[in-house]
Amino acid sequence: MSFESVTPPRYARYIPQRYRLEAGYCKECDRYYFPPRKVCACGCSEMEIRKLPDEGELLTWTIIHTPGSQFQDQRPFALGIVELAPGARITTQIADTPFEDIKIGMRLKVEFRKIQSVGEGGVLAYGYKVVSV
Amino acid sequence: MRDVAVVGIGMDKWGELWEKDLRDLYVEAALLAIDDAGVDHVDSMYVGCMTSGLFNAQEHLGSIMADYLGMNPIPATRIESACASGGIAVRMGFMEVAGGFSDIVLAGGVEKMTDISGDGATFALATACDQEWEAYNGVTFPGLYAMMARAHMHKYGTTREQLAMVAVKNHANGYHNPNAQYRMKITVKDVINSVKVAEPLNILDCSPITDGAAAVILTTVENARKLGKPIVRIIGSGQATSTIALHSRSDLAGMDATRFAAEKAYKMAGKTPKDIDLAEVHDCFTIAELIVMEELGFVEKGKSGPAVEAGETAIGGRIPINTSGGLKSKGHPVGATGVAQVVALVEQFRCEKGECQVEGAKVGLAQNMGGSGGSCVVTILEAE
Repeated sequence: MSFESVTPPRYARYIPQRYRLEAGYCKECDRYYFPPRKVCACGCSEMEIRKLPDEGELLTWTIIHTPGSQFQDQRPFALGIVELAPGARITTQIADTPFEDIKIGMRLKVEFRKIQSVGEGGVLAYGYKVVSV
Repeated sequence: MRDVAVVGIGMDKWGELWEKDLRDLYVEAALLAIDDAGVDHVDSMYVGCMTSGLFNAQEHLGSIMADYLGMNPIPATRIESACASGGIAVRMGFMEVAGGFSDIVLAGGVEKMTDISGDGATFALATACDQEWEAYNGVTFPGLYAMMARAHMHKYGTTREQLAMVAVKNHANGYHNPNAQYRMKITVKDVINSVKVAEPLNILDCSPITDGAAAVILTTVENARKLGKPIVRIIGSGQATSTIALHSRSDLAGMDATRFAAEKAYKMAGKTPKDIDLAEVHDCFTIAELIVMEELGFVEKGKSGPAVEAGETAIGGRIPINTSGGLKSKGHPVGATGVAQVVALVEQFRCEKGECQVEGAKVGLAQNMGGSGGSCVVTILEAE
């Protein structure tokens, strides 16, 4: 299905976040937003761009056995929600970690990785995954 | 504001219906509802549908459905809020009649999901989560609910068996529903041994891919009396949102949009959770029913697993939930689900449920949500 394609403009738009973890930071309430957004829930619209720490804590996780078509070649894979800074959490694959070692509360480190192959040509799309510290 | 009643309900068999297309499904349910209500016209209509564009390459559903019902030129509006599309279609119809803009409104929902492959359906459904910051990284809907399940088990000690008991109960109910997609009884062992989808959830923790539609006719209570129909009023309606991405929510073992929508609906109805005789809730996955029970105030936070285990939500229990079979057994054609919940409650009030009848039920609640809980609508009905 053509809808699944990560087209060049769509891909390029998110490079600051996927390659460099650039987040929005609200000074008023010491809170991060990933990706950055125009306004904070506190009403403040003066957000500063800050790079997130590349280490965080695992809040919850799963092992995906039936992924969407772009991820069929990676099944099964672990995936979790990781908090990198107050308010800034990512949903990301947990790579290179035996499933039996994964635990809520464990420390994980962000790495730059291949995420999926796009379209019939199999063009690679990159971003972040986490590995155990 | 005018008092509004549900005077007509329509729903046909749900399942993998290769011989029927999107418009056939909606039109059949709508005609059943119109016939049931005994109305000779409709002033306006709604079509709840999540993603006919991806499932059937067809948008512009207001025009197509009014056309195939022979109802042009009445206004017809498509409502999309992922899996809450149907429930919100009912709410829009309710508001239109209550507000005096129309006297008779058709509110229906439809989804035709089996024209594309399983992978394609997984992709289409995943458009209800955050495409760039969840789906891009490989998460699926079962994956999101699996992470909620893991968080709930970690925080409250909910067990794998308690999750399975939700599916067992809903299949036991759906076994008696002639319109249900999967009419088979299952055991806790069956659920635990079924194929893994997203751990800790297995295939029997998940609602299925379904073709189906459902419809209701809404009118004023005054008009309902003229039609000679049993009076089932909509006494409360609440709608709320939460973050699109699960990871942005402060409580990964909760669903705040459901709590906010329920608070509004209870307040409008002048009811509390204790006044509810039965409920149809959005059990897209077993964990969803548990969290929703807590957010609706039927049990304290963290107590939903033990409550299901004690049979409190079974027929004959303190608060029967999903006597229709729920999404789990009845099926989950996403845009139709919220409408079908209202249909199920009205059937209960009309004492048409046979083996699944909840004796003396007068007040029922329907909870329908979208995505991983990013939108929710709660409707409270009361029978005279």
